[in-house]
Amino acid sequence: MSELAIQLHEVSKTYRTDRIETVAVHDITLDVRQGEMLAIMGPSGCGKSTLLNLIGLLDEPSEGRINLLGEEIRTSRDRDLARLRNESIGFVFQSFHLIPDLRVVDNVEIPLLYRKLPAAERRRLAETALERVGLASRMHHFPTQLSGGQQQRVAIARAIVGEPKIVLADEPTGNLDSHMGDEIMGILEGLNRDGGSTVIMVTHDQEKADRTDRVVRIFDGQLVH
Amino acid sequence: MFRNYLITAYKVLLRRKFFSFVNIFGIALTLAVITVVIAMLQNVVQPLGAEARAENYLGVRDLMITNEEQTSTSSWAIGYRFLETQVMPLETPDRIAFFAEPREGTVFVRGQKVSPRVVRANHEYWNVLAFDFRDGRPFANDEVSSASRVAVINEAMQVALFDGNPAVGKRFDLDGMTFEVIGVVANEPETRLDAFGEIWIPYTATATDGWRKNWIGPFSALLYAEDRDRLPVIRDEFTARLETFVHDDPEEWSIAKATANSKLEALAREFLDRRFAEDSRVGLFFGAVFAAMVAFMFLPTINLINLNVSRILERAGEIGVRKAFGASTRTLVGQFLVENLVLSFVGGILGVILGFALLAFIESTGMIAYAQFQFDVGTVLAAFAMIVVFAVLSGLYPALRMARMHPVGALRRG
Repeated sequence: MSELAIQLHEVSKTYRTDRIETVAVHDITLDVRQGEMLAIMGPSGCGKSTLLNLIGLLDEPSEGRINLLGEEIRTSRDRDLARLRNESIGFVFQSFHLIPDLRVVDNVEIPLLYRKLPAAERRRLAETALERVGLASRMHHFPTQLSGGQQQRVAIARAIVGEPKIVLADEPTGNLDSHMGDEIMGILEGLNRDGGSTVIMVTHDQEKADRTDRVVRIFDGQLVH
Repeated sequence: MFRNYLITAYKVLLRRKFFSFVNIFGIALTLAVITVVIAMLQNVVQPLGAEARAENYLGVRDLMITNEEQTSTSSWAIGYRFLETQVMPLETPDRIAFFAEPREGTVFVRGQKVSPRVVRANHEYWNVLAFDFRDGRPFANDEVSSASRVAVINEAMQVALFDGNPAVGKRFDLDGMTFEVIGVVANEPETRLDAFGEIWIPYTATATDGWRKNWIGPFSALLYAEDRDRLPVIRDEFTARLETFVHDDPEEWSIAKATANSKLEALAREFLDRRFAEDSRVGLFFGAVFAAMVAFMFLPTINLINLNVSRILERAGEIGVRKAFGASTRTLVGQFLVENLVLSFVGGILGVILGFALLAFIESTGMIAYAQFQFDVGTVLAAFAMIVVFAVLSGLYPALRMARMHPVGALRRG
């Protein structure tokens, strides 16, 4: 059995305001193997994205334990979490979240800015990542000069430029037409198959989910078995 | 990384051009005014030009005479009688210069009226102040004693009265008396209160001598020491001697109040309206000037804080992305401060340029006669120190707020 990339043990996330307590994720236990491609499915508002944010260390669980690449996350120090995210995780968002003021290549370099790397090395790695998603020729364009599919490919290049072991994609094809969606799925599959990255993808789309190794379903914040 | 920050800072500036312009303009204007104020203060206080030896003398510039009940009070510059009885007998100064405050005289040149500022002085005036003689010589003690009609003029008067031709030996009529030019000195700006003048004549060279009986006005005295460490001794002697003050009418005027001050002390006293108080409170003066500058910088600071805070929402997506990909709060605070520094530096550099342009303009208009502002490194460094303080002040709070945004919330908003 291959090693585990992610282990969630009885993880819950509750949002509290003065009057209301909202349970977004409840008592989830989940193991994801290294090199696995996993889809998380469920209706809107069921807690899929919250779960992805917890795995991605963007949010802290209210209860339970998270184990990432064999290391239990005990810290809640901003600097330590930032380092872990930077080294281990790459994010792909539904709405791309590229910085419009920066050229494509500068967007892709962002994760490397927070590592101690010389500028020339950062540039080389960004160009390589753009080549992997087939956009080397567009590296000096601004994001708004690209189509939605191309923007998402840039976002994927940004996610993989630091060679993280885990790629988290939150509805990566949600804003794209089916043709472009297929293209993006192909790239994610390639990352998983050829690069050995663990890919976790939140999706609404059964067809896309069927292309992954495993599908987990969430309903009202709980895993449905 | 720095390049990435700079590009972002530049683009953020361009994104809202009008607001950026208003902000940069606000910073520039504030710093321009501060640059002008610093340069003016330096011009008044620093020992430059003819006042190069200012750190070696104390000035007695104001006198108040009154009585115990304060039923009569009179104050102005010191009078000749006061000079005679209270100042000239002092033993500790190496030299005692005195001069009357500049008075407008009348000279006619080819039917045109010229109104030079005329200063009456004693011969030690030329030894205490370091005038740059371009031609001729100062007047001597015997010329003062004999009330000789001799004059030293500045270069501007050489041009106004003699078309710039050599003036020494030539004569001109001033207020109905004929004077012979014996020396020509370089122009001194109006801000140098001890050295400013356009024509200098012996204090005795007047049509009448009613001034000899006056206790009040229009003279100032400079008490000079070769060794500046001795200035406190001079001050003590002067203060002690004030106790011996006896007026011709001792019932009406029994008390004299005057102080011997360095230029900085004199400025502080003037500013704080403490001309006759025991203590000049130079520290308080500096505190007040500093507080005024900080208060003046407050408005553009608030403006910039406001702009930065309003940009938080606009930049939420970027903040979320940077956090997701490994930027810590501290790194982001650094980034936003760098951006703010860039903005402030752009405004600051423009401000300093504008400030120097303003100073050059003030010089050229003659608003302050013969003004020569020092474009020195100190002024520029002081202005830049202000910029840094300004940038940090206006950047820190928004930077902290921006950087502390929760990444999930930031991504959702972006």
